Amino acid sequence: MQIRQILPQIVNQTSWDQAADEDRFEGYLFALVIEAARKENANVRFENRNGPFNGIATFRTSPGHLWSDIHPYTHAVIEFAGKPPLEAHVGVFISGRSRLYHEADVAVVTRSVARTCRADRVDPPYSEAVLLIECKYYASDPGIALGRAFLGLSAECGKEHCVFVTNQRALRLQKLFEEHGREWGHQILPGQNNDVDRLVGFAQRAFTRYKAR
Amino acid sequence: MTSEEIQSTFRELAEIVTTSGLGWILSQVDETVRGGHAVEKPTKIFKEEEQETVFSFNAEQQAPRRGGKPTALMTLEPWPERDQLLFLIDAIRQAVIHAAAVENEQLRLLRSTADVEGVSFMPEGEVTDRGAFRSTGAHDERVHALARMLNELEREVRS
Repeated sequence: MQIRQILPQIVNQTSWDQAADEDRFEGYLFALVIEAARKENANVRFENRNGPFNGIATFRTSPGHLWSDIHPYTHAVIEFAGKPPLEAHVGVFISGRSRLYHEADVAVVTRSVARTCRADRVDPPYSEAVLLIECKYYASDPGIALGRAFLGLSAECGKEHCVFVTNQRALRLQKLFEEHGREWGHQILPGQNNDVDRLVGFAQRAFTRYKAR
Repeated sequence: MTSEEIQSTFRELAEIVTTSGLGWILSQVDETVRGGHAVEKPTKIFKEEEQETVFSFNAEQQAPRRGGKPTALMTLEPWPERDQLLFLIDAIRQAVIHAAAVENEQLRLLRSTADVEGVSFMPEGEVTDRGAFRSTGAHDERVHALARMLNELEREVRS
């Protein structure tokens, strides 16, 4: 089998582990959210935690505090005409209805709240979120436990602006989310244009609702 | 492919994946296989009895059942061997080929907003099992070659 020769060479070249695949996926979803904002005529720019963007987008490998200044983490500033600006972040803690902590793989919050969080070293509340994305990159079909966890997360953080996104078809999870009225995006991969467009559309609707406030 | 060929191909591919350091793929496939697939089975439920008569498991199948249409009850069935091999092939595709596409698309989209040289993933805490890495695009021709090999193998399995 020729795969025996070629697979180790590819794997040795760069990071192909589960964590790295998930990190790339979160970065991709962040970029799709930016794309959705641009489609809604937003002006978007990048900023680092400690200053201007320097050409390297720095994202967290595991969820952390929005205010953390350990690394120059990058976020996007999203501006719609006549509306207070928003910020999009990768991998930040959000406090839910029960005031417990949850992890948002991609989160869009108002800039005023984000600035408050940085200044006072506090974490954004779910009520200030415009969009929260749970990202799951799996080599195989994601288990039902992930779906159950998302039901809890979205109950805590507001199901109207939470979406579960995976690269897989995840048929079992689709049934679960449909039954419980949750949003999901499946087969989110480059080239799966229909599925990607549906997800970008969901993000666009979140921005449209924000603009209408 | 015959059943024996499917089994030996699965074993060989699993061994390649493991020795290449991608054992986590195999764990995920194993989890999917162990989970089985849910199917609805039309079933007639036993009639309730006012008083439990002498109960015998052996005679259970012959006990009277409710009349009318059967109820759709759920059961988990094991995945056929062929599907298990297809899961493994697709898992390699997702973990390497699609992941490379995700990396490239992420960079392409970010570059439409700003001049982005690369993406750096950094752990926030000092104690972590997730190390830092930088992605600047995956343009290895060998990834495309692997994609072709997996497609070919999938065709053989399905034939």
